[in-house]
Amino acid sequence: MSLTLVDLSRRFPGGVLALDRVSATLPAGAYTCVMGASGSGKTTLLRAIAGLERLDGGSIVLGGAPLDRLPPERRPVHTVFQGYALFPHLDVAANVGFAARLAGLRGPALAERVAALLRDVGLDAPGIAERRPAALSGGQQQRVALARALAGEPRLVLLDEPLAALDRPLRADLRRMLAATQRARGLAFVHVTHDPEEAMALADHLLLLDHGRLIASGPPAALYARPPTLAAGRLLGELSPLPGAGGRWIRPENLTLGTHMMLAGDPERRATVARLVAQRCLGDRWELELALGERRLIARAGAPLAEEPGAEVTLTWRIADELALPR
Amino acid sequence: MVGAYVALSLALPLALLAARALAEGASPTGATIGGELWLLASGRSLALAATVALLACAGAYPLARALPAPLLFALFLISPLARALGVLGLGLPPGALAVALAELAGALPLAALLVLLRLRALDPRWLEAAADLGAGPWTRWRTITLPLLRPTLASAALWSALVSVGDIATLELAGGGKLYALALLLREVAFSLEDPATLTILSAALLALTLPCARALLGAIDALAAPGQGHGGAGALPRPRAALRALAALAAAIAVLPALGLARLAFSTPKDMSLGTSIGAAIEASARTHPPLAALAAIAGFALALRRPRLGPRLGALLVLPLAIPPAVQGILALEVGRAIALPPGELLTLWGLAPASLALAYLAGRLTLAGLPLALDEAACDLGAGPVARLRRLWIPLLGRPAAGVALVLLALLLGAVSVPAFTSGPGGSTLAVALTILARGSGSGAVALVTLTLALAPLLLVPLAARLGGPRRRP
Repeated sequence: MSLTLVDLSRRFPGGVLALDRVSATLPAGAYTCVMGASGSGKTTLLRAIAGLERLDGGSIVLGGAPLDRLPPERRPVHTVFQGYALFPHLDVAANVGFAARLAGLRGPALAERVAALLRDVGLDAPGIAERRPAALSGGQQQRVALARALAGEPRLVLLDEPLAALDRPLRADLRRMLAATQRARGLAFVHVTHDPEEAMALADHLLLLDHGRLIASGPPAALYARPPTLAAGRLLGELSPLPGAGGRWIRPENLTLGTHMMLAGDPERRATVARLVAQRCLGDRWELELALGERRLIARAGAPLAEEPGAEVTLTWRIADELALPR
Repeated sequence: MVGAYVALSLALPLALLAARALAEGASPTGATIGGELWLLASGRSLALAATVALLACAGAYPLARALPAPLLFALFLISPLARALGVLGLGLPPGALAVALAELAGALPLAALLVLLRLRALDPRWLEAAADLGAGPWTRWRTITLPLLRPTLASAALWSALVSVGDIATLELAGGGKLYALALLLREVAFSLEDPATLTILSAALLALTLPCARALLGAIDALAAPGQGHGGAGALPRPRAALRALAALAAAIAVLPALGLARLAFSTPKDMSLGTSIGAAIEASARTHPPLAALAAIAGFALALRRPRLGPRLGALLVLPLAIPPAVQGILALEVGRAIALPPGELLTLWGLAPASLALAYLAGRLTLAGLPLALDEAACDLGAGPVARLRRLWIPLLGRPAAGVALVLLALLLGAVSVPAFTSGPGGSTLAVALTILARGSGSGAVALVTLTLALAPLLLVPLAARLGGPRRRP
């Protein structure tokens, strides 16, 4: 069931344009990530789809049926909120069973659905279902929020920065859990994030927002490799400027440290000499900061260089990896 | 320090009372009140308190959705004396109905204010999540809002009931002095019978009852300012429907009616200008004592609130305790302190009697104010090299000076209208304006008394908006 967004516009009191005629079609059963910097309008877009934010213009169509006139409670869309918004006065089971109970499910059928969902999200340890949200860890709360959203059998699940409050190892675990849950159910997920790594790892389809405008959409790997604009390219990762005029850029991992000798007989490569400013360990790789005249370049390496800061190093790259990006 | 203060204001007077009971026996005058009357008065007080609390809770939510917080607070601060005279001004005969209406007019805005503050502290995402999961407006109210309001409603009910049990002015005026209830019997025992044993037992019993209430009250106030919340929950609620608006109008009418009745009484009754001298003296006494007490209590309350990380919930509850103690018991305890140090009823003893509740209210207001500020501010200032004086001058006075001034104004409004404690401590003729007016109102129905009482009733309506302006965000030049 595909989701179509047509010319969505929203201006907040005070004049801030949160959504500027956003149009997109999100594929059925796909994991879509919406990425953008703070204030880019991504949460507003999600809340508009959920019916929690009024639109000034435009239309939202899910599986051919417009949602515009439906209040949030009647939309077949459930949300995992940022900070989770678990009901503090209800235990885990009652939180998860909230929507199913509203749909008329009671007794053993309700208990069975809640238990199955808790099992699916890895919360089937004894005693968890009876706990209040305040007695859960951040990761457990996130799992409860996902189970709660799934329990009402929505046709679309919206996730508003669901991993933002978690530490890095937990985030990776839960990211895999989200992907597995989406695949297993074949449901469409729309996930808002500002983390490019999270978006690239999860998305089948990626939307990039900037100041309320949709600046790019498509498969994440393709957008990363060939962003349509400089802003889209920077949202997805770092870019280093290349020498010469014309606004050519390159991803740091595509810069290689080598010698002019390497270029002999390789018409597909270019090279330049830069000065090493600093090198920093990022754990699994090293980040090299280089100066090329007034320009600052970032390159990556598997191991630190033997050269000291200030030394001259040769950078090479494939011409095919150069990006000509309009501003 | 807090322990010493509580010992001095509560434990010591109770111990003195008990010691006197042991020394003097049950009833030195020989006169006693029969068990039947005690039972009748207790039953009547409890029934009245329960009715008022129940109705206040029923009307709290609609009223909270209809009126702004400063107006609710101002209505709550209107003197019981004004409300009692006001219901009589409406034409109601003195009796149980008049007492219930007068007390309800004070309890409704109190309960609504607590509910409104709680609604503001609720995370609107809970309601959004419920809507997102398919809950309509009524289901959202029933499954999310109401359960989350329940502890606040329970605290509001408890507070209203305790105020009702210890209220003297309303019973005296709106009850016609004949509606015998617990607070009136306590005063009878204190003044006419001088029976320390009965006073000790009743005061100790009421104090023991109020300690858990104070804990609950403190918890409720802390919940109003729960950290990480306060996203404007009340604003996120849907527009009230017609039925709710009708209930709100009814509740608002009950809260405002006594003031209208008072205005009617003030402008339709002949004025006996011979009362001017005694009223003038009482105004002078109130003007002399109440402003300094309000200022001192506000400063001390905020200073104690600043020590919140070091004051655990037990000490905090002890500080708040005077708000839960029925005013009649506070009056008895203050009277006992006066007796022990040979301080006769009058201005000083009245100040002593009113101080604990004033400090408690200022402390609560300070906690609420500080809840919006990160505790790390003080540590950050310390870390940057600011000593205690520098922190006070450069951090806390700029941050808290205006809210504390606002609280002092609110306390002044409260003190001006206080009757039940000064009824024990102010001595013959009354050393506060409110008590003097109560005495004069009991003696004659002069329009002059009603006119001055109306002015007294208007004081909170003027002072609270001013306090809200002071406590709100500072305007940049």
